[in-house]
Amino acid sequence: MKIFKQIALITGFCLAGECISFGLSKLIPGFFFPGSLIGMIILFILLYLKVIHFEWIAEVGTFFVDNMGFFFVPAAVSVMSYFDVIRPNLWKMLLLCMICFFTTFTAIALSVHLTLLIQEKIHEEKGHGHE
Amino acid sequence: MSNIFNSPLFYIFLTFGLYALFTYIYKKVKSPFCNPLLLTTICIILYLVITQFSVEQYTESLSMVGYFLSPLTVCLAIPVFNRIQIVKHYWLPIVVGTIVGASVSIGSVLLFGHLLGLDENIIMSLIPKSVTTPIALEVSEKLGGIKGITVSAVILTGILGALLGPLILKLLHIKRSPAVGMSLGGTSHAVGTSKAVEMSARAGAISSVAIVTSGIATVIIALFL
Repeated sequence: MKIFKQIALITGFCLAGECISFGLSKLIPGFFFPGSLIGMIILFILLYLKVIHFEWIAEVGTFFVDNMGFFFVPAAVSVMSYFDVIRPNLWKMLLLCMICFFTTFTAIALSVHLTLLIQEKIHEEKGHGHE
Repeated sequence: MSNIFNSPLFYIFLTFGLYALFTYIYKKVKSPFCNPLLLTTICIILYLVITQFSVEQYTESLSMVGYFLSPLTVCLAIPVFNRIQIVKHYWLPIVVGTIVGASVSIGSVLLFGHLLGLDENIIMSLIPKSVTTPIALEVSEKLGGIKGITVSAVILTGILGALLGPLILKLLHIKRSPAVGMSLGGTSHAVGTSKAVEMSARAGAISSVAIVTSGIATVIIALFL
C-alpha cells in the first residue's frame, strides 16, 4: 500500500510539472523548461513548507535516488546503434571530455575556494570591528 | 532457443540480475570502475554483439524503465531537502560554484568541440555531460543530441572525476570541504559524490546538493542555446 501511494504521489508531481511546462510553452512561444524539473522544484518547496511530509515519499524516493543508474542501462546500451558515428570521432570525443573535465573541475574548485577565502576575510574584519 | 534468449522476459531478467550483481560487487570493491551502470551496460552490449540480436529488441523490452526518467528527476528534491542546513550555511559558495561550473562546462564543450571539428549533433550530445543522467537526457533531447552518446559521456566524466578529482585538488592545495564537494559533485555528479563522501561527510553533503544545482543551471543555460 505504502509503496503504491508513494509512486502515485511522485508521478503526480511529474504530471503537475508537465502541465505547468506545457502551459508555460503556450504562454511564451519557444520557451521550454522540462516538466520534471518544475515537478522537482514544487516537491522541494512543498517539503520545505511541510505541506508534504518526507515520510510520504521516503522509501520510493530514496530507492530512486540511490539506484538511479539502473534506469539508464537501456539508454546506455542504445549507444551501440551509433558505433558508426562514434568510431571516426572517438579520439576527438575522448579528448574533448578530458579537456572539459579539467577546465570545469578547476574552475569550480578555484571559484569556490576564492569565495570561501573572501567570506572568511569579511568575517574576520567584522570580528575585529566588534572588538 | 533463440526466442528464449532474446525474449523481453530474458532481457528483463538479465538487466535486473546483472545490476544486482554489480551493485553487490561495487559495495565490496568501491572502485569507480566497478560502477554498476557501466559494467551492466558493457555486459549487455557484449551479449548483443556476440549473439547478433538486435539492440532495438532489447531497448523495447525495457522501454518501461525509460518512463521513470521524469520521476527520478522529481526525486532529486530529496537529497537537497535532507541537507537544507548545509544549503543555508553555504549558499553563496554553492551559487558561485554552480554558475561558474555550468557556464565553463557548456562553454568549453562548445569551444573545443568546434575547434576539434566535431559534428553538431555530437557536440549537442556532449553539452550536458557534467550533469546527473536524468537531467542530462532532458537537455540532450532538447538540443537534438544522441542519448546513447550523452549517457556514455556522463559515465565517463563521472569516472574521470572520481579518479583525477582528488589529484587536481591536491595539486591546487584545496582542502576546504565546500570547494571539494562543489567541484566533485558539479563535474562528476553521483560518481564524484561517492568520492567526496570518502573525503569528508560535509564534502559529500555539498556534493549531493551540487548535483542538483548544476543540473538546474545547465537546463537554464541550455534554454538559450
